[in-house]
Amino acid sequence: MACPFCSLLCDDLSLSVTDNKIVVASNDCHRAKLGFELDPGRQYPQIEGQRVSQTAAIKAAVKLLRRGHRPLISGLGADIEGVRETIRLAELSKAIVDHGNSADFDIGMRVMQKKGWYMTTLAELRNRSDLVVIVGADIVGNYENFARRVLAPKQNLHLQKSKRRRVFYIGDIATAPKSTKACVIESIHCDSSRIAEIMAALRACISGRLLQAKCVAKTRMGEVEALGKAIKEADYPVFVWAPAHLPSVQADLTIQSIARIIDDLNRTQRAAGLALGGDNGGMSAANVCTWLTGYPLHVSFAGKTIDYDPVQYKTSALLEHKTIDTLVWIDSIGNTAAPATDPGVRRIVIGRASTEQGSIADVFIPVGVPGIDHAGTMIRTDSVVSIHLDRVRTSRAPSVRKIIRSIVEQW
Amino acid sequence: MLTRLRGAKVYDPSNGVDGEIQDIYIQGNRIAEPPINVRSVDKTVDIRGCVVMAGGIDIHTHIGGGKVNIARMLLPEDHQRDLVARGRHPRMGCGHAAPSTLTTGYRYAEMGYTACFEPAMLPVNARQAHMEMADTPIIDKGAYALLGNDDFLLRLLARPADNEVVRDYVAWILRATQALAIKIVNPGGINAFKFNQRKLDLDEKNDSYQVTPRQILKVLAKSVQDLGLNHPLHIHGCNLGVPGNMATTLDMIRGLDGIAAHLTHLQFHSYGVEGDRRFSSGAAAIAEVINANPNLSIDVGQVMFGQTVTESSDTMQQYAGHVFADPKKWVGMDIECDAGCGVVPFRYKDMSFVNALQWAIGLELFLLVEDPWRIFLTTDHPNGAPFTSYPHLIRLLADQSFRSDMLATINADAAHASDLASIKREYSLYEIAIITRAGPAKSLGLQNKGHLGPGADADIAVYREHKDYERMFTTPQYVYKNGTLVVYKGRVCDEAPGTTHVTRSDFNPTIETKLNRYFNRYMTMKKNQIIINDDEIRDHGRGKLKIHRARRRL
Repeated sequence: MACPFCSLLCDDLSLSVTDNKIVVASNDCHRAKLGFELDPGRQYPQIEGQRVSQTAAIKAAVKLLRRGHRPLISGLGADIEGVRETIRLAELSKAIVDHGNSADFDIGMRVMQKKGWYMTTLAELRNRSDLVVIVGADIVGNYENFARRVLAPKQNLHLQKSKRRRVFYIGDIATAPKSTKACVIESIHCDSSRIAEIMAALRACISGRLLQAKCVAKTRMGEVEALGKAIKEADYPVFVWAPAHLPSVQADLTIQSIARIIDDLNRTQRAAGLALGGDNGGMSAANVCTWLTGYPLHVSFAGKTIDYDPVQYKTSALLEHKTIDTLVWIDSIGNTAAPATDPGVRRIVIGRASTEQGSIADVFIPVGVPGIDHAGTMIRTDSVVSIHLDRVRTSRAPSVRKIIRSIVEQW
Repeated sequence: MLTRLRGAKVYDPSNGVDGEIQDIYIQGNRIAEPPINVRSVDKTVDIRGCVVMAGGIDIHTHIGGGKVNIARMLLPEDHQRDLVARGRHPRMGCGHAAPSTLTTGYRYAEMGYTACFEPAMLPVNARQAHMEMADTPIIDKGAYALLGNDDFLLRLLARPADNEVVRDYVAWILRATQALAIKIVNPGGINAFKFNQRKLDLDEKNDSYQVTPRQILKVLAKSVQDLGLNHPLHIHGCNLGVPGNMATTLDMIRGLDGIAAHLTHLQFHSYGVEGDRRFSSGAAAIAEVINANPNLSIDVGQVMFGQTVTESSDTMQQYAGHVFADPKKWVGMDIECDAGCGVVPFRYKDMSFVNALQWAIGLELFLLVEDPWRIFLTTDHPNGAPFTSYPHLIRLLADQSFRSDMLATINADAAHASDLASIKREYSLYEIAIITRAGPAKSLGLQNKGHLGPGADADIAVYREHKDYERMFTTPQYVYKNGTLVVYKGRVCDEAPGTTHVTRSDFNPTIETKLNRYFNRYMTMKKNQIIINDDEIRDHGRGKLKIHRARRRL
């Protein structure tokens, strides 16, 4: 079975279902366990905390949205079908569209839009990369199956049996794993707020520039130089990072350094990058929004033409500057609560039936989870593979698509 | 309901109709026989003074899938210069070279095109390609699955060849990815680039598998022919864009030994090394060989001047070309032991010797290849130019004096180096109808498309006749899709979902066992994730599915 709870979308989970309760049998990923094993819940549609029929709730949502002048649709934790339908609703209601996790991949998106980059996908890394540099060590805890499925698989297509993969962690590596049969783990320990400095020094080493400093971010230059040398000797070094787990102030600098190191390397050898992120349907939302509107989220349908502004049309900025009067918060996956808003802002929450959110919303409509209550499709972190998710339990909970479509049909 | 389109000049080459004044009848979603009794007509549309053709068919246009979406993400500036205002189309959108899916469908329809085919669908990305195409309104669509750089096939070829297994694999890929045809891009070269090979000539071995592009090409072209697919192997050859690559192209054609093949965007593969700048036109020599080999068809990949973006699976050549990126940014990607992609924005300049000569080479190919049934009109959208430039291109082909004037405005050395000035040929409307609808339909095996005979799908474009063909082909008066009026006076007035065309061929199920083992051992998803069900295409009525059966020869 496939798992929607992070952007790796692992499809090798074993689940057992008894009395509609799911137990993750095969997998040691805590996010999968948390997501699948959450009590299915019995929440009902609500208007101002009072139980109502779904029809009434949908009607109320339409009314609120029609009355709004500056609606924001965010959260957007949905499968592809849900996002497709939501973009249609955004156009009808002249809304702004964002995703709850968009900050995770925005920084990367802007580095990409400025100068581009060279990337790779999970199976390329798994089968060909002899050296992996993991920038920002929190990846271990947040993408637990990345190590099992991608970094240290039993078999691969192109690495010689005699040669173990080298994996370098850069950052606060208190939790770095131990070497295994499949790979040798090494690390450069530094405070996570200083990763950008290490990457700048690494870039200088790789491009052959001499630095006077003996030490950078409390790391001996010798260590950085040794890593630089190893990278240059590798056949296919791959840099992995998770923007959400880089310190926000330096995330853009860090990602830029990585992208430019890869450029430098590709002049004479091969190298590539892999970003982990876009959880909670973020990668699906960014892709669907791009094909339907031309832009990866942060779009506004308020004007005569579609407007894209990744700075202004950001959920946090819009809430902070009090520029919206209606919030539609959708999350059928991650169970996140709608962010706090000013008292005047009307709130429509479309969320998992397991959580009581009726009291914090003007209208609350519970929905099922793609990959649990209904089938669906989502796009993986590498933005290439789309994974089909099966329904695993009997459920009456509707999909985001169904709810949004009902709203659209009543518009 | 029986609708009569009355009194237009009909160009229907599949039925030999060349500009005769005829009535066309539409019954439901089909073209009907003229009724015995005229009184049974429910509605008559007077289209006297118009030209009628079947809806246009684009045999090679990048409209869906990862690389297209990366181009959209990379280039907000492309969209901001070309925004579609609310109300202009049924839904909003934007984009010049990398338009949104919605805008793509509307603009094609507004040009009289009713079917478009995505030529480079990576199997691992097929589901997304189909979803993007499902969100491309009005037009029919289909895609060619990309093979020839995937580790699974190269592993098969590295051992003593078992053609039966390769055939089964090709047939399985067609079924799994819901493809209409098979495409190959830089055979083995994308894979070789992953191992840092920077070029791969026809007989050069891929370091990792010790297989040559020639071997891969031949095996795949033969498999496609043996499986009896209507469209032959769709080939983007080695050395795209490299001066002197005409030698590779000619050598490749010889190596095909008469096996049927379609050579795509051939303009990019027709370069010589004559002259001071070591860049010259090979169009005459290439056209001569195309004329002499009836097993071949081509599309041109015409270059037009202006801003565009190049999107290709050919990472090897996109890497080489990225130094010319304009604006200065590009995205490359190695993809999932399957292929790769490179997205490089580019501006073709009429005062650049190389770009101007590329423009001339494309036109030379159009004018020197004699049989219009074997050459199709494309710009390799958006690689040579956005598809919206087709009306201008049609005028260049059909109006010699216009062509001469345009030739006089480009880089003078390029104009001088080209034979274009001496070519007097003008395409007739009959020939335009062949290269933009009848020919592509025939090549793809779409029996109900590309013509106006009774029983054909009622995909019809009606243009007000004008001596300026650019103007005429830019804004059709009426466009019917499946019998529904979807465009009136160049503006979308209705949108019905299009049909996805796929080809099926039988395969021995043991191939699935091999694939299961391979995916379980090496890939990061199960084999079944590649398989797209029919219901995903039909998608609650959003799309229709038309299955074409291959006629297996072995």
